Amino acid sequence: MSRLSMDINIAHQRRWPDRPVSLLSRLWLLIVSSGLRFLLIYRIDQYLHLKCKENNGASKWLWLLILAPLTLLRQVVKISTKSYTADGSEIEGGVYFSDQGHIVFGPEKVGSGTVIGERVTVGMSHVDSGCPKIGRNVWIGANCVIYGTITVGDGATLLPNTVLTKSIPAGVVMQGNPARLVLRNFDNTELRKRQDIDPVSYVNTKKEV
Amino acid sequence: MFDYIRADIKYTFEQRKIFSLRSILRFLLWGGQGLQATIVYRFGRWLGKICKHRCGWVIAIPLYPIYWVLSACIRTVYDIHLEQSADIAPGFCIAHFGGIEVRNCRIGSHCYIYQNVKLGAKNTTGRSLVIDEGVHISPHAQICADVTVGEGVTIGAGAVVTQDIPSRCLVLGNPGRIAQCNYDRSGFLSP
Repeated sequence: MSRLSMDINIAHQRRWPDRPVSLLSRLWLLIVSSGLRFLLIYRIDQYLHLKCKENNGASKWLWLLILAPLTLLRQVVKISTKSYTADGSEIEGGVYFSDQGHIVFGPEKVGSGTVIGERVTVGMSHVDSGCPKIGRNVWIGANCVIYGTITVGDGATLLPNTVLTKSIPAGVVMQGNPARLVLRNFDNTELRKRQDIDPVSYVNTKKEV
Repeated sequence: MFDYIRADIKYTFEQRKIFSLRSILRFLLWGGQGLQATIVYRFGRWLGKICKHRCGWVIAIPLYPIYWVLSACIRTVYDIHLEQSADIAPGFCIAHFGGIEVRNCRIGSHCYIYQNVKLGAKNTTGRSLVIDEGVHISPHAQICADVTVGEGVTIGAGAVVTQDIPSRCLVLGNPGRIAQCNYDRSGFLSP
């Protein structure tokens, strides 16, 4: 549950940067934001499955009674947000999913502070047996595709419409298909905190300096 | 219509390695979206074919509202736009859902497409997009020009195809380049 509160904090910061965080606004955000709703159901599902695995045996049927409605709920959320997450992936607290949805998500691990835009595909199991590992504080733009057994370093930035198939180090900016290096040692905290800036022009201004 | 739908179901199950009853149930519960969209599309094509018959409009007119409602549901809920201007041969499979647009094109049998794939130009110049049999189109790929894609081609993720592609090639990148000829995709694991 601490993970979920981190998720809410980061989403709150992005959506209403100048509003103070209160319990009421957090709850309201949980109702309004579809990305958060998706994460909430996913986290509850993972937590209960973990509990179920711990004491399998006598109360197996009791667990089924809890898990069956949850599966239905997951299906509803999957259709309403049009995004899908694989069961095995480990998502740390403080991850932001875009509200527009269309995310197909199957990484091995995602670090905290990562921001994921709409229409992102991570991991294609039919091409490669491995899944990508995504580090902390990564900013992934809209329409990105990441697949293969690769590692994305901490603080990397993927501009919109990038197709990434190779491992990248920390703090770089990638763009294009196939992905090319744009900039090294880029600080993406502004990008992660604010919704209203245009990423490509923002990176270009940094490039000139 | 039913022959076409049967071929679609058979191909989908074959590709996704669904054989036992349990996996069929699980498929219906979790991942039947693409198949549902294809079935509604086939229904619409069948209605269009029946209308050309001498007194087929008697059957078709009461069924058309059903088709409109179903296709509107598929479009809004799953975001799969399979338009009637597309001509799809039996044995067509869609994995995942969302952002799929297929229009003004001719697709051969045993094609497999993923999410966010866009096929066909909005306003064609007579010659429409032709895709031969056994083409595998990965997520986020776009073919929005009137080109011919050969048999057994694999189109990589995010590729934008702008030229004719010969048979059994691998296309990657934007703009799409032929990365490898005689590409063998049997190494693919099941999705």
